[in-house]
Amino acid sequence: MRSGTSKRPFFEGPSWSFEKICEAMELCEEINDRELGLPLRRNQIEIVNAEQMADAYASFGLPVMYRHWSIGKSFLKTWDKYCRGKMNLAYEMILNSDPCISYLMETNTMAMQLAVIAHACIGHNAFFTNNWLFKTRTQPDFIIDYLLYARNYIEWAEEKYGQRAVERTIDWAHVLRYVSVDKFQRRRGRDEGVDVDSKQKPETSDEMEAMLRRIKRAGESRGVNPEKSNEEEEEETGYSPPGVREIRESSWILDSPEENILYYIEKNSPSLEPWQREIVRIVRLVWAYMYPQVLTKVANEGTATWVERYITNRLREEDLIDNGTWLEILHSITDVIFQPELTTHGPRWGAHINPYALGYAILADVERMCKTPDEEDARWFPDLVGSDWRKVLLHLISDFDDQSLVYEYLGPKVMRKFRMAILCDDPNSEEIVVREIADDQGYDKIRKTLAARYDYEFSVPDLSVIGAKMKGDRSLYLRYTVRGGRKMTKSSLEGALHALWRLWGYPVFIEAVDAETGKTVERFGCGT
Amino acid sequence: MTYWVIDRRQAPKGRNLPNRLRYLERARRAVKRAVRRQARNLAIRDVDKDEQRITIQSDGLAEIVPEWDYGQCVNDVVVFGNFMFDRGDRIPKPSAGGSGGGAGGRASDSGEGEDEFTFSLGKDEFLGYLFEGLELPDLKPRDDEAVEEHTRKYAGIVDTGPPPMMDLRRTWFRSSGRRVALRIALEAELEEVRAALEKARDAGDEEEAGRLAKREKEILKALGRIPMFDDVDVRYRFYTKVPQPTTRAVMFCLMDVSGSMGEKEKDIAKRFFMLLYLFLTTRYARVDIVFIRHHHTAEEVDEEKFFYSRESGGTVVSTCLEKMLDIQKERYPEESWNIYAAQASDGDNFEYDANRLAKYAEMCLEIVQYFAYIEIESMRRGSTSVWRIYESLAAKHPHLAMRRVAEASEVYPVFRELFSPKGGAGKEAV
Repeated sequence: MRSGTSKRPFFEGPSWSFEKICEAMELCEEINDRELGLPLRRNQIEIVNAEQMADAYASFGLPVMYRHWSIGKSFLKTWDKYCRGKMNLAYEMILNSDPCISYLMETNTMAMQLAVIAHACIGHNAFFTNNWLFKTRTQPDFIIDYLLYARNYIEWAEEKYGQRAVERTIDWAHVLRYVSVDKFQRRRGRDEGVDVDSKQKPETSDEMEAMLRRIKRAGESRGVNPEKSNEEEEEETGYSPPGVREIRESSWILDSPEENILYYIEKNSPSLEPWQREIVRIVRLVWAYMYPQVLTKVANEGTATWVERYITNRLREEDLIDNGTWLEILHSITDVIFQPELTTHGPRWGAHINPYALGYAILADVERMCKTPDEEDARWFPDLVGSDWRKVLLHLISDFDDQSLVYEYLGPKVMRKFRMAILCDDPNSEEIVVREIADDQGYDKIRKTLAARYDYEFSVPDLSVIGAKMKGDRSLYLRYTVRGGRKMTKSSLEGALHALWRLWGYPVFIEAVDAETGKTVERFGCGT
Repeated sequence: MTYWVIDRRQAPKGRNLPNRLRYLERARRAVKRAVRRQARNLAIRDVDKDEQRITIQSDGLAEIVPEWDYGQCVNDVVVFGNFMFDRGDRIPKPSAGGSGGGAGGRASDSGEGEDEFTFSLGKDEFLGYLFEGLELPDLKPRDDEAVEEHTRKYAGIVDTGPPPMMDLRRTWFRSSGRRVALRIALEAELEEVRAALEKARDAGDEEEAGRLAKREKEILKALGRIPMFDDVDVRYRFYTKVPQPTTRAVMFCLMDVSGSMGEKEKDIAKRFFMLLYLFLTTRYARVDIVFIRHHHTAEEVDEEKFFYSRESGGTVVSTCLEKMLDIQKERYPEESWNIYAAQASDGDNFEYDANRLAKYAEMCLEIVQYFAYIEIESMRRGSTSVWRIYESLAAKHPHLAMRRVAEASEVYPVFRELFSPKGGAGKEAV
């Protein structure tokens, strides 16, 4: 720890060393403890070379991952692009784990290593540690163990059942993984606990047997006693037999509608082998771990960039880094928050929103409003005026995802700064119409539209299972919502149906239902 | 707070190699197509490179995920950087169809709409794809006393042999057995003697006790002298030599370097032989390759000269066949060798050579398993004399294959045709 009256830059020159990295880590932590007060996890810094970084890119950043050709393909693309100089690898990559594992490129200068430590080891770390989505949905002290289990299980299955069979199962599960999320955290029952102590899942454990029995029973008759009257039946068992009602095709229900498709398949598919169910589960759980990161890109990068800038400025103010280092880091921050513009780069690039830019701008704006508000700020965010910035920062990190952060805290100054506008793109028209611009009239609409952009459903259809005719032909029914005429692409619909049919084993139907009218817009089936 | 700094750079490389292999297997067809497309335009020098970059288009492995069709509906999109427009303004759409549709918010980047991408294959992988499915036709195992190849086969246990062949387990068992047997007799006697000694001592019989004590000592000494290992114990493993049927083959490469062959024609011929050479060296462990080039005389050369040096002269085609037969008689008796020949020429020949050519060609065809003739003609001149002669022989000899090649890019497909298992033998292509 540094103390004493005269401070000097704790390093000079471009080359890093392990001692310098340790010192950087300690200085950043010290500033956080003293001034920001953000709770952190322990950090594990790993120095990697370019190939290892490309490896990380290919497998979502996870240091351990099951083997699959898609990872090989992704690696090849990235690696070739990098080797030909067409793409730069990131300076850093960080994992939501406990301890937080960060990868630092060996080719970084010491200034960049410092920047990365502030950005990832303090900023991202604080975000993973405090944000409610990560706290409630991920088990960071457990993820590496689970990944090891997953990889070993899949290797075992490949040896036992053949690589091809396992690979195809994973392929089908991959098609459906993005639509297999729990949008709301809910209790799933006993078997959600993950048993990693057994080296491989036994083929018929008690739980598995129970599940298989349940599926079999669902296909049999309900066992309602015909001798008793309805009232007696109801009294005894609490189960009241359904009355006769008009059957619309889409109301055959096994359980309540299920938005997590792979979960439904894992528990209910009549035709999957136990090892296939386990694989489906592995794919689902790995994506479940990644899901919060998709929802918080803006907030997370904004936080990390803001923390990076803050710590770097403080180090400069205390003379712990020299001008050259400070400028190099500022330069890198400026690069990373670069935002393309509509009028300079065209509509396509104008619509490409840099999460670093937006996130950083919002955080900096809120900071300003806490410390030096003006009259407009007081009108827009009266609660922020005069608040303790430390508390507000922690609140922003902890209680929001991208959608809610933009909805609550996107202020007029940021909207003006970025010259935001809403364009209406009608495929039947040859012109794009400017609907709103960043003025008093447009602020509300812009804020709401931009927030909706970060809803998961904006990117991924809300495909859900609504039921299956278990007593009939065992066909499976799914539905998704069409808003404003936006449907799934034909090819992805076909791909999804095919994968579902493979995993379910019986006919599968997907219908598109219009959000406003409730009417079915179209319906497709597979395996019929 | 505790933290760790770890240097991972020393970790074993190629963590993603298994995944890469899996991708190559899945994308096999697409990779093969890409390699073959590339092979048409390879320079001779480049075929031997350590790394080959290939471009794959649409490997059929698009990772489909449920996604929205943004282009089919009205989208209200927030854009940044509007310095010019006011509410109600209309912007003409860029002609490339780029609209304000936003990119998807998924973490995966694989669905970016580019099917095509480029990566590197190692030399062996590349050649593997290049020559996949090709083989020398009719390669027969030749069993012969003069054959030098044997394998060792395990043939049992014997009692003499060299120390490395000692079977320790059996030896040990036998020695244990012998030692037990020897000990039993002595130990039985030892017990008797001791009992008697005790009796004698009790009885006070000095003389008897002394004798017995001495006997006891002798027995103990004898027990200590039992050797651990004796010659009768030792056993050795024995191997016999079993002759291996060998598939030996020799390929005669006959190239016409006469004056009538221009640079382009010679280049095409060299490409063909380069492919052949690589094919044989990567696919077969034991193929001899004999390089013969001819103009009005034929000479056997080494690989360096064959591919890289210049030579010119008149044209007498029969000389190369004659040379081939000479070498064959001398070094490659047909009982022990599979003989193959590949000839490249532009078909032009000294007019009075026709009879000799026919004669030697027939003799060659008698002894070869397969004869591939490619005629290089950059201008269609109708049938050449050589072509006509070979054509007439082809009817009687189904293992003669003839092809025409006009462009460098045709060399590889023709090569594949000639060496596919279905065979180009007996067929003619115009």
